[in-house]
Amino acid sequence: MNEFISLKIDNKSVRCKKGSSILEAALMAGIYIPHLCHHPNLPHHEACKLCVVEMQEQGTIVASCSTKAEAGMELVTNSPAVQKIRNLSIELIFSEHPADCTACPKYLKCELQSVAQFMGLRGGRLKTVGKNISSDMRNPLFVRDMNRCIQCGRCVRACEQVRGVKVLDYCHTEVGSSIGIPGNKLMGEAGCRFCGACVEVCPTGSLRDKEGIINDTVPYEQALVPCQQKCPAHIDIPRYIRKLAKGEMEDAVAVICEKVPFPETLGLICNHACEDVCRRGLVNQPVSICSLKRYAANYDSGSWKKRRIVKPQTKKRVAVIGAGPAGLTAAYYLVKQGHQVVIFERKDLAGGMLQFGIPKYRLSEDIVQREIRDILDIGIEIKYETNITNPKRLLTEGFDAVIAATGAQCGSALQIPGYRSEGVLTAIDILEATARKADIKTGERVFIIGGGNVAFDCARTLRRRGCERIDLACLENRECMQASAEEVAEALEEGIRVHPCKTFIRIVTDGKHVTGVETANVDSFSFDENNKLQMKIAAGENHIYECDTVIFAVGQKSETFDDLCGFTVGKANTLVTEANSCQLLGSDAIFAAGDITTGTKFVISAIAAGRAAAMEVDQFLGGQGDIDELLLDRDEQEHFIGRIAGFDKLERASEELLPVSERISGFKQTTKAYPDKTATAEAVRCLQCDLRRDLERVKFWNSYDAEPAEE
Amino acid sequence: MRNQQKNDEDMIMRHELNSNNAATPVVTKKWGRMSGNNIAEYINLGGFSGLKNALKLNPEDVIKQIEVSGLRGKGGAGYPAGLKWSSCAGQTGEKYIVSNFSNCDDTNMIVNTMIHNDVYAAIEGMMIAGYAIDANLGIIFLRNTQTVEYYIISAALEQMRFSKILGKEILKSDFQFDIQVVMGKNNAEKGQEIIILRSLAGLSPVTVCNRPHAAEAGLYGKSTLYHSMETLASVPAILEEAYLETKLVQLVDTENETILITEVAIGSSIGDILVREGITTEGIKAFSFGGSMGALFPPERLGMLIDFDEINHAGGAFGNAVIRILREKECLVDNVMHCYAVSSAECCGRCVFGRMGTAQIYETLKDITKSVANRMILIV
Ligand code: SF4
Ligand code: SF4
Ligand code: FES
Repeated sequence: MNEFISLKIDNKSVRCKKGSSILEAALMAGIYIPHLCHHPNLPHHEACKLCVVEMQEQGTIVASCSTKAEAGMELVTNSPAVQKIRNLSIELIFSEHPADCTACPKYLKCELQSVAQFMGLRGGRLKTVGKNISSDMRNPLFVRDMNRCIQCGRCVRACEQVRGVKVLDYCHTEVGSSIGIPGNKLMGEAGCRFCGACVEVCPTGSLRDKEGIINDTVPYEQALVPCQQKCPAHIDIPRYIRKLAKGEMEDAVAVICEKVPFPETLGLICNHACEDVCRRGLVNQPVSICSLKRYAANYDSGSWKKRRIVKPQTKKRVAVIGAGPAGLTAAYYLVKQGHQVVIFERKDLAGGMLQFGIPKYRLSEDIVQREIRDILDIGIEIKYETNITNPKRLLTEGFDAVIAATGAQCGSALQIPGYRSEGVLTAIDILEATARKADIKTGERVFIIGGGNVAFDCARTLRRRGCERIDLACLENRECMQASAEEVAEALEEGIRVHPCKTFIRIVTDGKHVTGVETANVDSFSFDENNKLQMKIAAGENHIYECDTVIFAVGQKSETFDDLCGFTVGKANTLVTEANSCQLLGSDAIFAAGDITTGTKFVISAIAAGRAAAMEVDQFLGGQGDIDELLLDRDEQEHFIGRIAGFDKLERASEELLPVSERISGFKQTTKAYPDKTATAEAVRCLQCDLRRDLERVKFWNSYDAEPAEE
Repeated sequence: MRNQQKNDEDMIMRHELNSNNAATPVVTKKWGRMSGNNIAEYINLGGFSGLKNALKLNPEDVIKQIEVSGLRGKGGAGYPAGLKWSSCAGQTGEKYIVSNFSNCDDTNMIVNTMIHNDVYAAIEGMMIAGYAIDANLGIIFLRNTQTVEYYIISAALEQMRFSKILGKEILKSDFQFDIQVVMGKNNAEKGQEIIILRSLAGLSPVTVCNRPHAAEAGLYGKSTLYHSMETLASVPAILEEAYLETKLVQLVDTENETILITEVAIGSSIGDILVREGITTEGIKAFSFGGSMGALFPPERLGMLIDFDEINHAGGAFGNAVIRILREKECLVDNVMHCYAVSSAECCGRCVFGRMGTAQIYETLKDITKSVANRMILIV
């Protein structure tokens, strides 16, 4: 129960919660009192004395941040006596503060500057007592420019009392006190957990994020947690990792399932762009976000489904074409929004690329089909082996909206001489045939053209099918290959020969069948303004690789409809949508999601597209489009993270990789999920960048009803 | 009881303080009669009989005796010790006794002299207090510079444990008490009660406004009895015999190369003390009481009595009982300037007035001594 009390501030009646300070009461009522050492998330400190007010009756002056508001109080925030103290205080603060505001990266975002502006005063009368400390740039992530410190003590309180880490402290030397790290240690050495709380609460430019750390092209709140921002589905990464660090695996799964319906699949095959931007990477190495997801998913008991909300029936029907990751995701969220969904799948099994594109040694069929079953179980109807040739017709068959999510499943080939010869295949052919355990004829010497993940998937699949001699060539050099570094390394271990920097002149044949590929070496290449490839061929002779099978892994084309119904077709056969929308250009109730609109992308992008389509279609059908849900409440105590010995030195763990012989002898998963101990240790490495979001942003005087002083 | 030394260093090294000259030895009773904190000698001189007597009484009666004695905290404010004790005794749950065995001002050597001459009296006082308020743990806090003192105190405690005067079944009673010595981690951890309590609890070493009384919520928020070393050292005498309130003062007469520490009865006049100690009152330009935290007085005030209220009201700092005599050759402005240099360097660093205000005054005085001051600065 909150009791309220009333008091008077500047003759204005103010009501506030019992127990609030005078300052809180005033700010709440829109009355601005200058303050610097006060921060809403920190205990009061009474250091700056700017917040003084006069108690009218007693004539005493008190600091409003640390004095409790009491019923019936009558206070003045700007009596002459108050002004005198406040002015002296700001003069004293500026007597040791550098004058070069405009040179400070915090310029215009600085609380001190704002207070001074409000008071119309900076000092200049008193003697300057410079500190002349140079900026400390030695630490990862943060700059400590203590020359600008006003010793408000906020960072110390945040570090000590909010986080329980206690790295920053008051330090004393012969000349006096300062804020620092005792012993002038590096932050990491002193036990810093790089949570950023100190930077967040610092009112001045003394503690800052290093330049470029905060991505200023996205909203600040999002930029604070780069991994989540980068994840196309915006999974709440730090939150699930924190759960894992505490050993609460099921809770971790619940957090993941708030945003995506395929936890284990993603844990195995996601391209994890999140890890590229993980802040821990700047301390030593990024957190293994993806492997931790896989680990968590192993503990999925489905208990989170109890909290899942399925809204009441809307009687609206949606048809989804294609049961790949995009289609399944869209269907899942639409059913949750109360719509009835039917998926039409051309093949006899759902999953799309998950089922037929990704080799089993990366993602086993059991996992894909189990997760798909889980999704369908929410009440999605699926019609297999149904080829939709005209999506528009579905609208006349009782559907209120259609989502096309047919993906990009037609392998393309480079149109070089000989590309139609016998023995030329596409990677997709190989991968799908393998997934179906079907026969596909390949020779003894295979030459793969392409350097992306699919090329490597294909090479490694063939290796597992017993092919001994596999050459893989691509245009890019080793560093720029599109496939992930691990993929390349593992393929090399498995005996696949990789030839970077090649261009392909022709396929050599005996008139009918492939006998080799003629290549030239490329020095460099670029794309001109029309996106046309420009190459510089290296001097020297062309080389012919002898082979009996050539496989193109140079991308896939989107799969559209026999009857295009007037849709606009773009590059690589994609369907074009309205700007910032999933709705197909020139259609009314037909939407598209996933590779069909973007061309081949990653699974997580398809899932994100499925989510976006679900939101839009829900709105189209009269809903709110609010598919986000909280499957687990946030824990109040999370912000107190405490100390961990040697935190900055904790090394990234990698999953155990099977030995090569075991790998190539079948389609076993190549890596093993973390054992419990490793997973916890890895989870502990996270900096928990999201905690910083919970610290309130201090509002400046101009967001209150305040009049600045005349200068 | 006098001791003339060339400089402060020697002073700390030698401790040849002759207690026979003390008018009323209470705290200094055993000084100069032990060969260096030897427990057998302390006991031979009647040590621990205060504790023994206390253990024969009810805790309430011990507190009553403290109340009757009129003992006041000698660290500064002069709060009646009996009141502190009974308010701690009235609390439930875990309790602590914390004492600061250091001075916040480098020129004050009273505490270190106490440690070197007789550390047991204060420890005994701490134990009596522990018995009276029902605490089982005492903590002695030292500055990070007091390494020698740390070893002396640790050794004394070891001797006491060995003689079964500390730990369990103290002096064959069922009273149980232990003492820890804790040294500050850095030189910010020094000075006032709140800073020391916070340092011990692992919090930043700064003062806090509007805090509860330590007796109610002190160390770790538990009831804590906090006393200066000198207050604790006065306690055994109260339980031994008729007690008289005294104060240790340090007299500094730089021009005559004199520094001495003496124990005087509360209510003695400063002028008389100087005369008794053979320090001439001729040619005194001014004297200060309280070191850098105190105030300067003209020679007419030599009649001022050593008394909690009188000194504090006059602006001196009773707790930091250093009386410095300034004679002709010394400059008063320099002296004040020096005080502000010390204050600004030694302040805890929390509030802007304490930190930058003192720095500003120091800078201004510096300008004044160099005749380059700007009068604008005086308009506040
Ligand atoms: S670094 Fe910033 S937060 Fe810390 S005391 Fe200085 S101004 Fe305040
Ligand atoms: S440290 Fe944790 S929260 Fe921060 S970016 Fe990396 S995974 Fe995300
Ligand atoms: S905000 Fe109250 S003293 Fe600084």
